[in-house]
Amino acid sequence: METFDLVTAGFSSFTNFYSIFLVIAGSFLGIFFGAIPGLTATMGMAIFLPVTFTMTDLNGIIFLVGIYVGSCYSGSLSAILVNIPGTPSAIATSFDGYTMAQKGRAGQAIGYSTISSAIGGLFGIIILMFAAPLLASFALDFGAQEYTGIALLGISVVSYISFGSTLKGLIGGIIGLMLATIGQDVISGYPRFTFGSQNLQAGLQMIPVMVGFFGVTEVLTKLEQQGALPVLTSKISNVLPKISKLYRMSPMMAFSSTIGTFIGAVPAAGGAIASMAAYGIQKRFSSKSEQFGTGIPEGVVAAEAANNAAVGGAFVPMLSLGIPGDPQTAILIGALMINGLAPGPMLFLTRPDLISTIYLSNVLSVITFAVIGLMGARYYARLLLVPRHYLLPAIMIFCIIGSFAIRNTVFDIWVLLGCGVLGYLLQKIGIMPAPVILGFVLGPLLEDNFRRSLIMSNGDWTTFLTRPISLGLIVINIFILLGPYLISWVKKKRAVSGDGSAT
Amino acid sequence: MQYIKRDSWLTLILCSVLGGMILVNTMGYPSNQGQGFGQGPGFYPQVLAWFLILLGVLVVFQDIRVGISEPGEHLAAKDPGQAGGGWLVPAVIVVCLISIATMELCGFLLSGFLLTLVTVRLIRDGAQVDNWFVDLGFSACIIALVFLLFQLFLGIQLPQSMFLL
Repeated sequence: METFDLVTAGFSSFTNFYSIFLVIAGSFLGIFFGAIPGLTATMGMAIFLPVTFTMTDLNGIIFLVGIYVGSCYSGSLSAILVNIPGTPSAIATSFDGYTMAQKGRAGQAIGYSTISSAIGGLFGIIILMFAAPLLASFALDFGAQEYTGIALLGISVVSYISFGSTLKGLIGGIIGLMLATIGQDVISGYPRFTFGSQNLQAGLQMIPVMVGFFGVTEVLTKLEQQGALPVLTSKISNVLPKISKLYRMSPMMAFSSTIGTFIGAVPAAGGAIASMAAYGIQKRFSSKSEQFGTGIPEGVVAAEAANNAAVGGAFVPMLSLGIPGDPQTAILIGALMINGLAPGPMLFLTRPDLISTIYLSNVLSVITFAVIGLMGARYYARLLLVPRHYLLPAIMIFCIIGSFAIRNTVFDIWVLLGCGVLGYLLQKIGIMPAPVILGFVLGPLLEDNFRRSLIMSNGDWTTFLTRPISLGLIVINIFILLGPYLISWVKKKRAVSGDGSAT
Repeated sequence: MQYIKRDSWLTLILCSVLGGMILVNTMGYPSNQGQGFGQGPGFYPQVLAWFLILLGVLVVFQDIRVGISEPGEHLAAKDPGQAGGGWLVPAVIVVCLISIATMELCGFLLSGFLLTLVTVRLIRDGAQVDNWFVDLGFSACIIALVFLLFQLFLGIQLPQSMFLL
């Protein structure tokens, strides 16, 4: 379908005030979750996902996209004001943003952050509009073997970039894949790991698992951290930057946005890596490179343009391949699946209105947070002062009710608590929740296509090697997992032989 | 052995136990002989189980390799220490367990209210008598907000007690 048709197909979703209200409400909630350190976009989306059950699929997506986009922006607020990034994607923003605040220029830092976030966000959406349909049309030729490779790629990448070792990331991914096998086998209908429980016949529900790993695990982790409330020392004024300065920084914004979009499109990469990479590259090549880190607007702009452009990039693999670009799009995939929709290339043909709604809600959310950010900057400071002894129990209650709301059964609350405790214990030994959740989300896709491939080839494993795209994906997977070890081994060999020849 | 970190040992134990349990559990699954590929519902979990056990071994092997090749780095690496407030997490988990176990008996309004109140009191630094009223009010407000949002606004029925609370 032509890009223009795809964009306009969803206009009708926004002809009523309710949908526009949902975008604004979602953006507000996203700003709240992103601004408070310890709360994340993923947590906010997971907690409010059950609220979308009573909405149409379009309105549900509008609401969740609003939360997602709003939170990607607002992580910078606490990064600038108290040097505690509200979200991981705002870490790079704090390098210059907080320093600017200490010099009495907090308002300016927030202004530059807001404008560059908005421009980066819009840039990412434009790339999304053109790249996603192209990739989707390419993906229509994918068979079961290729989808197996794609699912493995998602797990390999998230394992490689997850905090800690790649091996532990892979272990987390496999644990997620195992959790997805609970319930009736898709092909034979045989009940697996149900232990006679009727509640487990349909398997673990996505919401309690996600909310457990992303919400309850975080609450339990935060309980261990002690510390006083952040102290706000900056006054907020002069928020709106000068047009001339913004114009001079426009090439930097464009370049950072490009980096952010392409890194965001890598499955499981996310805004944190995008903003760090853009900051590092801009610092390396900028004429003011030695001033980065001393409190210059360029540092804030480089990071923020990239982390919001990564949002559009993350949607590319999600919509075109059904692979989440980051944990937040994993939740959006969950929302689509709950509504009986399978993300992937077919969605462009069967539901162009949904694709278009995602584009347009992104745009509206960007505009919303830009307006809210510029007008409400001086009021956000108060969000940071919510005491944790009120915040954490409130989050726990919303997690519990959110999990109950799916099937109206207390069993799902047990699953929530079990996953939360499991996630907490896994973190203790260095296994992060993100690979587990990605494994759980990709599990049905991987198993279904893997087994179908082997059934169609009558047990011949070379079926994955005889198809060029499948072979290519396997090579990429091997490179991602083994490449760093091979490179390190080669470097050591060279160092040893270099020492040997010197002596 | 001295090169292997504590959390690597725990990872190996986790992978071995979990992988072993999967393998034992799936041994009794039907294998669907004669149907095309000839593997049944236990095949895929068994593949995952073997991978898991292998990865657990590799984690330990990696520690040994790093320890032998870079002993200084190994000595410098320490297991992360226990953060402060270590009793709080088990306490909150126990409170949650009790709350969920009694939810069908007492209903969400009462069990949720008590869960909120008790966790607020547990987490608060320097609990005082004066705070009781504030904490009671906060807990009641949160439960009221949840009730308004989910039951009245969204029409999602909250867990009701046997006594219709």
